[in-house]
Amino acid sequence: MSKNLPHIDEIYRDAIDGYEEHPSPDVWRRLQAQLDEEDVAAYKKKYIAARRAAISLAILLLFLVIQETGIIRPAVSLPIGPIRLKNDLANETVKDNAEGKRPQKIAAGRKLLVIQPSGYITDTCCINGKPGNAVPCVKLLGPDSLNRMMAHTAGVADTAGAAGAIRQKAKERRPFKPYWSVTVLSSQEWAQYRLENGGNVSQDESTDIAQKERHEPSFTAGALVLYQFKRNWGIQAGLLYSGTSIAIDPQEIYAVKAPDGAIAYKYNSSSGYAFVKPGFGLPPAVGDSLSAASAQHNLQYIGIPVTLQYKITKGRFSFSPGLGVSFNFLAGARIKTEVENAGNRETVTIDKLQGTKTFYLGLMANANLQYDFSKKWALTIRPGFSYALTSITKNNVVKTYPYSFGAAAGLTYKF
Amino acid sequence: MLIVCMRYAKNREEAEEILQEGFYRVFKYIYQFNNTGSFEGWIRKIMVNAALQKYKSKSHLHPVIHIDQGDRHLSDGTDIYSNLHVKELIRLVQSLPAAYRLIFNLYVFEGFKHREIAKMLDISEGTSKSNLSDARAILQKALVKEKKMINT
Repeated sequence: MSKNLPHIDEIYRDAIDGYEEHPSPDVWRRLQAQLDEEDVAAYKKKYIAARRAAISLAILLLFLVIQETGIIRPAVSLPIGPIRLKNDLANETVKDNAEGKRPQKIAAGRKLLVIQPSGYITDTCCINGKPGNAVPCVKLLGPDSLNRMMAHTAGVADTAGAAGAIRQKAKERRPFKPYWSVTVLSSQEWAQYRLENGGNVSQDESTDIAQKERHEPSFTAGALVLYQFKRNWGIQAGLLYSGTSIAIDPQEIYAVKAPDGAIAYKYNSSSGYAFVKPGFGLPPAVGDSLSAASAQHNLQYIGIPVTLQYKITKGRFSFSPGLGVSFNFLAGARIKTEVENAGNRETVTIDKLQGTKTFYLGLMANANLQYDFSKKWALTIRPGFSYALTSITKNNVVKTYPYSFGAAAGLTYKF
Repeated sequence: MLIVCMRYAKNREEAEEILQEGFYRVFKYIYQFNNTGSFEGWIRKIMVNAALQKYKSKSHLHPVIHIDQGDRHLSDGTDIYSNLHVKELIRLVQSLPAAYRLIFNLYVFEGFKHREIAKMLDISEGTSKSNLSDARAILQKALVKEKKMINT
């Protein structure tokens, strides 16, 4: 019955062999659109972290500009009166204002000077003892009026430096008290490394690794504790978790004799090496090769930074450049790839790299920029640089010294 | 390559979808081609995989149909072959249920063994053999019918 069945196969093979059909132009148009979409998606994905950081920074800067220019800052009131315009009383008034206190009670009929965010001073009259009920006068004074008024009330002859002198006086009255602060932060980092020849390998091999690997944006997150023991000096330490991603191009890997005597394919990377034993095919012989597809390499470290910070304060802003070291401990190293040979494919995940040190010492430099939006809380921006002083590898084909530039943002609490 | 896709697809539109997806993968993974074999063969393999993925993902691989065992013999296959246009032969393959179509293509055109097909489609070897036999029977019956129509 079925003797003619195989004949069907031949009929089809002979008929279709060499026959061509052409797709409609729409196929190529749609394909082009699909590839373009892919490019756009990849581009967006590539810069999404940078864009987020830029937007956050822009919002923060906008907030700071608004705060500092006083566009939405409430007006500061200085109560003065024609009768009580004496040095003692004036100093008392200025001191109150320097500490941010707003006078609560003002005698009826006294004048109230209101410093507007624009720097102008309006002269108002108080009718029932509350500044909120003052009736604005039409008289408008220019910005110089403030200095003149300060000079007059404080009895200082130099009109230009009067306000500064008063603030300085107020500052001198406050003795410095050492304090602690905690900063929780996260940062986007651009990591790279410097490779040195491992010693017993050819230069080509280390160059080859450098060409195959591309760093992707990394991140760091953690908490830092600062002890400000002097007005300008502080020491900072903490705990930081950092993750670095490296994309590795496809490559051929070759079978070698592993330390345990078995023959396995050796996968080299800048951070270490591993022996791959795929489940398919016959056991390899030394020299056999295997194709490894694009790989994703992730490295995680827990770092303990210790830095000395020098603090310069200007109003609500403070700038603290710092220098120190970091003690970095390996938390994880993973390579995920796919190996292929003779049509067989297998996904390989390497969770333990050999030739990777569990500890390395790094040098750290940073510049803390802080904005105190209250007595206890501050916003922190922390550009920084770190560089490995010791290699992260041992007995690997290369010695690797990672370094990174980062921009951290965080929140600081003082206590 | 369109003809490869047409053999696996239900119609020309679906074949063009597979072709588009296949070429998208070709461009995306072109760096994986290591110049050791035929480039055309590599692309063809991608097209076949794209087709398999399309029909495997849609759970189309469960047809068990009853084949009418009568009139399965071809008295002279070459006559039919010469009288039928390739497009007509393709149309007959396209009219097969998805599972039969995939197995027929993988066995006849790609040269896979039943063991390999079973692994690829996640079915038993027996199912692969049975489906191939059924596919052949359906095609044979359809060809006889076509022949009769042409003769009349």
